Amino acid sequence: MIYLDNSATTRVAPEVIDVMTDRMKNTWGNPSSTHLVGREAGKMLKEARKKVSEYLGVSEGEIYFTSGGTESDNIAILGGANIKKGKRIVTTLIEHDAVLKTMDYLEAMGFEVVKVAPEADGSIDPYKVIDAVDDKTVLVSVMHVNNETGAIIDIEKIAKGAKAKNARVMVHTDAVQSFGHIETKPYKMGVDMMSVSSHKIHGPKGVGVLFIKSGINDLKKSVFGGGQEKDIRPGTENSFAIAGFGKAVEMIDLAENERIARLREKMKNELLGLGRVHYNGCENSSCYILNMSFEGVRSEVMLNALDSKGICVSSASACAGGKHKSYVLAAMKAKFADNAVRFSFSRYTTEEEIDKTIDAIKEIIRLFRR
Amino acid sequence: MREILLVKYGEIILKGLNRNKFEDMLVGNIRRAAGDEWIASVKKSQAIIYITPCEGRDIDALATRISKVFGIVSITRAGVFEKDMDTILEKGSEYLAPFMENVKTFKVEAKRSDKKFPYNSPEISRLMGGAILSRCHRLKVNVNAPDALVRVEIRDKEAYVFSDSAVIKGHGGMPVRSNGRATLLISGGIDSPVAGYMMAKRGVELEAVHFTSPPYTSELAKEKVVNLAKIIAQYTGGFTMYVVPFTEQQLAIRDNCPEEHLTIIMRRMMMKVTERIAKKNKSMALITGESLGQVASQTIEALSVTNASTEMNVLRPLIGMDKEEIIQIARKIGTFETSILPYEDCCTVFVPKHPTTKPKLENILKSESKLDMDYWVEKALEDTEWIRIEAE
Repeated sequence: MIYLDNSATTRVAPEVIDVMTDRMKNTWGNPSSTHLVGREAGKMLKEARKKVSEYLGVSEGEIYFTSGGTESDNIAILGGANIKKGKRIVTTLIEHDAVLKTMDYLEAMGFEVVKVAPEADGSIDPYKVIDAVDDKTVLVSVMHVNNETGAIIDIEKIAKGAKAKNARVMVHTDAVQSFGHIETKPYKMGVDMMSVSSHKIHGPKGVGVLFIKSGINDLKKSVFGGGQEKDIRPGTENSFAIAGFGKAVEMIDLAENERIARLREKMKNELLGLGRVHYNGCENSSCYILNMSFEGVRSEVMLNALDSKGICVSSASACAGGKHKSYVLAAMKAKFADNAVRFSFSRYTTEEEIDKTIDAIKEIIRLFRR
Repeated sequence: MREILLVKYGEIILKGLNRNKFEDMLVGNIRRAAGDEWIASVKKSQAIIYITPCEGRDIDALATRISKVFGIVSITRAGVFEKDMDTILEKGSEYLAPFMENVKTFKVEAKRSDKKFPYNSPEISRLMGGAILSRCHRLKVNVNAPDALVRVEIRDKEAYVFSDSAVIKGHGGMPVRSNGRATLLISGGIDSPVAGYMMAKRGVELEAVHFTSPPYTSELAKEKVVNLAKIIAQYTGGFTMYVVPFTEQQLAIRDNCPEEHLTIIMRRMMMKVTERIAKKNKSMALITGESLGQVASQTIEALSVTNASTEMNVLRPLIGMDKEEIIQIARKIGTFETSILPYEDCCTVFVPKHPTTKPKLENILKSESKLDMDYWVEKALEDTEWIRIEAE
């Protein structure tokens, strides 16, 4: 089996599994309980919080554990959309559904949502986002790395420009596809809120983080309950998963990028060399994602054929499932959107796997290209 | 207190001398659907099957397990009591009370097969009516059109008390296996599972054939069909599904035959493959989900051309039904939600832009002659795999 769908999810690191099974056996208390068993669990939570905050270069009090990227996005956007402060929200057409569908909801609630279109190469022009910000704008939410093309968006420039135009505007970034792959330091980027997820970096599913800059205390609440995570995300913490997430964060190694970038470049060039193959993406891209179109072979045919050879890849995002076309490639007006395949890598990806995948693609093209 | 299930069956009581055989089949199917360790004993008497559950089994759970067996018209829960009039009145009316919650009027009918019982039927009815009225004050007796008909049966060893307001409706039809075996061509769509259900309901034992076109169709598309088959198996019991990889055949048709004839030639080839599988398994007919005029390949002309590809009888239970009627049945039997999952099936992989709607057999045969039909049918049979489908 060759797994090249790491943007959908990653395999859980064995070290993370060890930490989690140990904690499930030994540290099963409710972190909110004041007795011995609870305090042990509380300590475990604090330890994980410390690891995440250190990695992001923020304080522990700015880390809020959630159930993952979707919930982080929801809490951030619903929280930041305060109609009393302004009714305009700026985002892009290439955000994840967790953002776009929350925006649809806000639009129905009376907000004016401006969605900036991507360039033909999938990149987002920061100035187009900044231009859309006005004095009625309350929130800007733009993803850091696009999950389908890997395009890196200059959040730093967007945050700076947006705040220069309107100092009261809040900036949120969905960093689910960049966290652990490229540097994601909220303060350096100038964002007020950042969503990250555990299962994209070899941690367990069902846990993520929302960074909220200290000093922001007027977020509108969207989840109600027993006060955990300073009442931003109440509900008993998913403590074992959080401990596993902490371990996964500890294992992040950005030095790995050099090797991944080399593999990506190799794959991209060899596939382009096959002829009638097209690259969907821009120059400034995450080295973990490669999106290519194979003219004459529909996406699902390539997917199924690779699947039958034990090679796992995807077309649009995994969340879209079944038959949906990629709205990201549609927004880019990509000519061969129906033929697009996304390869996404991880620290476990080897050169041999890339070679085998390229060979398999050659054979599939030979058999099924029309 | 013990409870039993009374199963009423419909059409098979008309079967004259064969009646015993049909009843035995029904009982066998009921036992199979219930599973081992659910049914302690089964008795037949005067067109009713009396089922005693095993100790500790929930009576409603057992009723649900057998409720999809064809041949059953209704299932009624009944309380079993000692043959003592005071006990029957006291405990019987107490047992009935929860079943009377949603009714306003009732009537009691009593029957005694034990003629030595000290009360006769009218007396039992009257006494039981009184017992119920004194327990449920808001109820009224209505002998002409009661909401609930309460029955008291005095049998040889014990007495049964039940109300038709505690009845579960069955699916009717005839016991599976009472009407031979037929082979269903099943796709992932809405129609073919309904066609399978309808023929099985008439007592046909099913087997199924499914065509796949990897990599044009996905593994998920195949799983979807397996799941549909499992839903059908809830009614029919387990059966075999043959999975025929059909990609090479479809490519050969595409590359050799006129585009407007692709679909009809593909269907003819599918019929030929299915016929061979059916004959090998002593199946007596083919079943399709075709409905007249639904798509280009289901015009009366196209059906005739498809039909000419086989010498076997082709059963088309949906032939005169509207899509909406078919969907209604699909919803009722529980296949609809699975059928509408959006995976490509092999019939929609290569669709001509302008399929012929009024094909003539001689033209199609001419187009087909550009193919080695026998070779491709043989090849399909060689590559065929089978899966055992069990209800889930």
